[in-house]
Amino acid sequence: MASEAGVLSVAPEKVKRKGRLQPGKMFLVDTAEGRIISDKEIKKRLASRQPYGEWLTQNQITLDQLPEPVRVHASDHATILARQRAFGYTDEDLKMIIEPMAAWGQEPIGSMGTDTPLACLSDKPQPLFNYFKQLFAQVTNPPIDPIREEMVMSLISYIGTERNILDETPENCHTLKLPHPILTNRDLEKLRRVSRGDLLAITLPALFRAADGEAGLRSALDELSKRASLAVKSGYTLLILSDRGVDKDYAPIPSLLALAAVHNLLVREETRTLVALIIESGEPREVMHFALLIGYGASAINPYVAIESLEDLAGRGYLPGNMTSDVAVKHFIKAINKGLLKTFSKMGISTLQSYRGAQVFEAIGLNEDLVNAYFAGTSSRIGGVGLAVLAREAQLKHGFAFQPITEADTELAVGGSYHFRVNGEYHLLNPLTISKLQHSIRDQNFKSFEEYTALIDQQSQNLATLRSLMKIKKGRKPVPLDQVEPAKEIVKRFTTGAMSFGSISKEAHETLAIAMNRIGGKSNTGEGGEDEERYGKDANGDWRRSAIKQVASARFGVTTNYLVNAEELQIKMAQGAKPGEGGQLPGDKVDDVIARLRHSIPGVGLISPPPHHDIYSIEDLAQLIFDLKNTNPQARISVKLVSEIGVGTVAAGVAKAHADVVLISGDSGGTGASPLSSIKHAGIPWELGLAETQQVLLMNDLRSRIRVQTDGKLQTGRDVVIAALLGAEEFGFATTPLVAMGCIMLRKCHLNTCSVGIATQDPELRKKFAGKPEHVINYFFFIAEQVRQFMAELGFRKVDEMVGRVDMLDVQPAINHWKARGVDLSAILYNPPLPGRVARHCVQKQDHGLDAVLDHELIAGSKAALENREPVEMSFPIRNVHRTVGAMLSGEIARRHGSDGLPDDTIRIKFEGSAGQSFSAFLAKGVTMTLEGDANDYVGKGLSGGRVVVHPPKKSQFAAEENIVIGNVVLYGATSGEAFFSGVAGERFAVRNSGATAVVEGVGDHACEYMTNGLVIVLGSCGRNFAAGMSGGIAYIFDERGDFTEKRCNLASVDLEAVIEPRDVELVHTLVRRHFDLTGSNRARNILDNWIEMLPRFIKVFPHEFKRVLGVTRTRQQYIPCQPLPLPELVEALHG
Amino acid sequence: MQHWKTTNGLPPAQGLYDPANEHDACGMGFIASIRGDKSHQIIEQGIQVLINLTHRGACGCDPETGDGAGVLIQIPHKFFVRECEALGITLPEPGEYAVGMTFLPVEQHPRLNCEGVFERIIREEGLTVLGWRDTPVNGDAIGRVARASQPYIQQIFVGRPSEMDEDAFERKLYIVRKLAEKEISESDIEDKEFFYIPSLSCRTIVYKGLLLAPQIANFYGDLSDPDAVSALCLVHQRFSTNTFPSWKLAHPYRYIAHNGEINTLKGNVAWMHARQSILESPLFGDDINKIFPVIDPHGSDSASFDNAVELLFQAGRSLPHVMAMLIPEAWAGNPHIKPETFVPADMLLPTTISW
Repeated sequence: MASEAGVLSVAPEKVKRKGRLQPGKMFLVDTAEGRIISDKEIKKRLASRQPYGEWLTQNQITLDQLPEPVRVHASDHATILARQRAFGYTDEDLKMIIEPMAAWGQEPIGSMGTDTPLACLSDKPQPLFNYFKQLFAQVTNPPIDPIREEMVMSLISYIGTERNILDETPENCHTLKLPHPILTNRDLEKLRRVSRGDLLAITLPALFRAADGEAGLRSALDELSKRASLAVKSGYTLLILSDRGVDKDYAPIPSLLALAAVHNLLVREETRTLVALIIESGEPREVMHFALLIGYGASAINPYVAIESLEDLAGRGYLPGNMTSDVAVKHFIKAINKGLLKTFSKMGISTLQSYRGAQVFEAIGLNEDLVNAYFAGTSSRIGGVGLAVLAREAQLKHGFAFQPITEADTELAVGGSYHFRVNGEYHLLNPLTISKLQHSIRDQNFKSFEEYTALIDQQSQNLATLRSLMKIKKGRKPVPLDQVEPAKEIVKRFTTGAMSFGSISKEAHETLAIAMNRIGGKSNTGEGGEDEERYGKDANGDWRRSAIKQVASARFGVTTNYLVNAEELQIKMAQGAKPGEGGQLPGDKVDDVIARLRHSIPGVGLISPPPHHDIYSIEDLAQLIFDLKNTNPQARISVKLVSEIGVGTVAAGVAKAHADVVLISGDSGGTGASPLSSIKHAGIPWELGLAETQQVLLMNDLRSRIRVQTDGKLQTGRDVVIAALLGAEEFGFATTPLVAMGCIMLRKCHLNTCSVGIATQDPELRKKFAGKPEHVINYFFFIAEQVRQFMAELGFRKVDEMVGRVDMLDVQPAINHWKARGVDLSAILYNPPLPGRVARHCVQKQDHGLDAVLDHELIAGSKAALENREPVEMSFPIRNVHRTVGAMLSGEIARRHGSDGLPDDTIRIKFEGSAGQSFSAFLAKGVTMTLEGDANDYVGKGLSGGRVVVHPPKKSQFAAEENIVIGNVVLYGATSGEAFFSGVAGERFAVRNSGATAVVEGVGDHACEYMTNGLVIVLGSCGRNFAAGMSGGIAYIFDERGDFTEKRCNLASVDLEAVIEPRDVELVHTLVRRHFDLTGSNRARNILDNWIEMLPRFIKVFPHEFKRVLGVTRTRQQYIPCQPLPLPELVEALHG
Repeated sequence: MQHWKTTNGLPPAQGLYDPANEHDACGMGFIASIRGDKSHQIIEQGIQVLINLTHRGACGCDPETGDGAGVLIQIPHKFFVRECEALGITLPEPGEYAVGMTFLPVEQHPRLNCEGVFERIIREEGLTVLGWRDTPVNGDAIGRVARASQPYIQQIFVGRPSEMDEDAFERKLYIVRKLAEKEISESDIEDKEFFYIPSLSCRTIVYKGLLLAPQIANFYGDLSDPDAVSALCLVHQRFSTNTFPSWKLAHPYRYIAHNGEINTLKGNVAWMHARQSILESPLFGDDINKIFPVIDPHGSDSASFDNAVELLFQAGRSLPHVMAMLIPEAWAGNPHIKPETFVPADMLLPTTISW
């Protein structure tokens, strides 16, 4: 047993079985019993230890079993406005959050990121929730797809007392099982009155006297905790923390604070597992609020003001289609639940039980006393507000709520957090700054550009960002401006953001590329591939090729030719607008061109998975870096991370994994469509992430071997200088170049209705695009010029001298903002004490270990083929230490011959042994690699036209169709080519296949997930969740066990049909025949020999979307194969 | 590279850095004789597996210093009898004594201090100290950075009282280790951060350190001795997100070697702490109070998980049962679950505390 196959050489004839350990399964070698005990037997033994089933039926209760409550709180229209105000509801909360959730049953979507102040800098009173940011998985742990892999997700919550875990008794099952954590008013009353066994509830008020301010809040919290502690001792098992009863004297304690105070105390008293905490609060109204309450220990939540607001909206006829309040509430709960699953999955957590109390948040802007007292264990690194400000915010909301309401004043506060509003929240990009910027660029007027940057930089009136609190020190001897490196050198450090062709129009995408190529900066393809016609230069010298080619989780259009036409290959681990999430391009946006570039079919929807399925851990990232570097040794490899706590340690891992560049992206996000809660609440500002990265890289002496880039609403020369001083060598811009090309921040990028022709594919709207490369170029030169002015004043001649000089930064003096004055930037401005020889910027190249790869021999042996297209043959022994075999050769082919490659079978290579990871990755057309033995993970990753064949050694004793020959995640992101595997594959076979043809004799879980094109034949058993999210291509399954339809396949997006059409029959027969010819497979021979009996056991997996675009009618019933019967028409089909 | 005077060998939190964010990943594997036949070949093959997984590990600024590697084997009785004889220690029959692999301060005075505390606790808990053996190590086999932070490595031999059975002995050893860890970390002994017990058991022993896979057999001479035999060999090569030298964070731990990360760690540790007051086991009796805190607050996620495994195992659960409790198979909406072949979380719920 090992992480890889082939780590110990064992003679093939001595191998009895080969296998893999599946997730959640156990492999037990019992040396005492002298045998291997199967997972099935282990689980069976465990399940029969005690009569668990009986215990459960006798002791576990559900809400349905509880008696109907006598009285339920009704909604109160007369006081709803005051209570909404007391809990800080804004007009936007109703119109942009609650209404859409009620109408559509899902979270609302937005775009263009966020440019409003952090909660701790905002002038408006904020909910306590806004001082927290969600953490998310990147690199060291994969996020999950909560829709396509719903089978592993769960919102079930158990309420009651946990017993001694070192014992097992029927009482351990005495719990109340909730299907999800959101309680209606009726549900809550049932719980309040529960009396079953020792389930007993008490309601504890969470209010404080508004007039008493901080002291009142503190004593109310103490009182609440004391009462909770006492309630536990008195035998109560459900504590309901309730803020009902808000009136003109009493304000609600922020619900998260009340919860955290009680949770923390009970953990310290070691009694926390004896009770469940339930929140009855008017405050929670969006997904983030519920996620925080659960993350800090709540078992269930009753959001009564949100529910009443829905009833109120329904009553006033504000909901679409005269929706009743019951339906609205149901939709709202559904939307919250979906959002919760998404939030858990971002962190790679699949169940509510695991998420509860896991505190996977970072606080931004809360002071140390507050965190230590109530949120122990949560990181809060820049200090910030304490109880006094929280009390003040509650007072402000309370005061607004209970001021006399006049006729003219029947509204909520406007909000303005999602869209710019007069009197609303401040936005960096507002109508004034946008028009100033656009004018200055069009008129090439540096003076009016300076007016624009002054508005952004001088945020003394409107603090918005962490950098607005910083000051650039004077003190060094200035240098004359003409001694500072020229602007044309500085602009080479600039890149534009990763926006795919698909999210922005062809015109906008190419304008950015032309501009960046003209100035020697770099534009980025985004994750949608790139048209090969852009690879060569235009007649006028312009180059529409993007220097940076992105490699994202979906691998759209990531072919060998794409990889070799790049200066930089960027692995996108996360995206600022929605870190930890995948994406979706609906079928109606996939036109002919987009489909061609993404190797898909027009009209078929495209999904980006949340994780790269070939990166679950840091050594996997090292492997992908190695794969890409082999394919294109000249390109630098960059890894894009999003700022969060711990990003520095991940960046250190990335440096050790031999990336050449690490990009630390801010939380603010760009054009990407994303749920509003992700835009607002996931990820943190780049200042924090960049500073942490610089510090951790320095402490590890790794900074010298990796370049650091940052992005996230960089807008001015000052922003660039601050980023450089904090440690960045390169700078990315996305929003402002779009504004330069005409964007006016309508924030409708996800709707395809962009009126300036940027974020749209609509041919009419695209005609309105008026952006020119010169606009973008002017913008970048203006920025560079400003940078030069700063450098002259600071006495730096070269940007490199300035990188990491955090000692040149200081805190902006005299900040007397009621919230901001508590912010402490010393952790950001920390300079680890290190000797001078520890370099503060990149001074050396990574050693990628390419000298030792087998491909040098392959390339040497292929000289005649590469140069003269003459056929060559070679053979090599191979071991698991030989990784990524074939990729460098393929890169060489693509470089010389483009995506057409070489004629079929020009280069034939035989291997014998156990191949290392990524065998035949990115294999180009014209190469056939045949392996006798077995291979590790990622065989045929990104296959680009080549052919790979794997079969067990001739001497093997085992049946190939029952044994593993290739590892996990085979053919991930394959775009074309052929693969024949005589034996079983691991998990996630042919995920994101968009064109390859494969035959295999068995697959693990999640095979063909997100497949959009291509063909897969499985001649044996399948794992679970086959074809999840599959929208194109076809799979044929030989349903060996007859359980495919019922148990193996995810039927959400595919139909299952018999293989009857002559076209299908012939196709399957031809491929099985070819499989036999190439591998000598027994399974194939058996099927061919008994074709008439075997054929009816084949099932065709046909995605709905694919059918729709082909114009085929959907099948009503899923096909379950019958027992083999030699039907006359099948015989006919076969011979006809 | 500086050797940090912290319990886990990582720098203290400073600036925006917090050691709590460190991650690791790795390559791992094991070789076992299904019938339980012990041989030296199994250890040799285990080490070969480790060497072939070297590319899954990483090295930092000193290319000769790895992120950590280690092996867990059964106690090679014949080998230790021979070695101890030379030291004048007479070992009883297998199972009647335990070997404690012990990392200690390099300086003599604090080292003796730690040894003294450890011995005292062993005696107080009713066990006997049979003697110490200097573990032969070859400092030339490892990197410069590893050498600079290398602890003094000793093996202690602990005797089992005749009235105690083997399981009770293992439980006592667990208690002894927890008490020693706690007392020394709270003491004011200089260099106390070196003190660490990779293993203390009458069944298994762990050899690990800040090594690259190919270095392990040269560094720990014991592993190359033909008399060193075992029926199993669990190996691990670490890839961490830092270059800070830490001998303790190498795997295997006492029960597990782990690849991956536990993202609910904060919650798991808090919940485990929160339930300490209701933990009860007839196997422990009042001794249960000696093992608190169950989770060592300075450990990594894998080390914390090992702590949880150890508690449940010592409280009388089989290892498969422990794993089913801590890592329940994802099941909601899974059509393959049939009660007779699978234990859904609901059924094991009384004791499922998933990590």
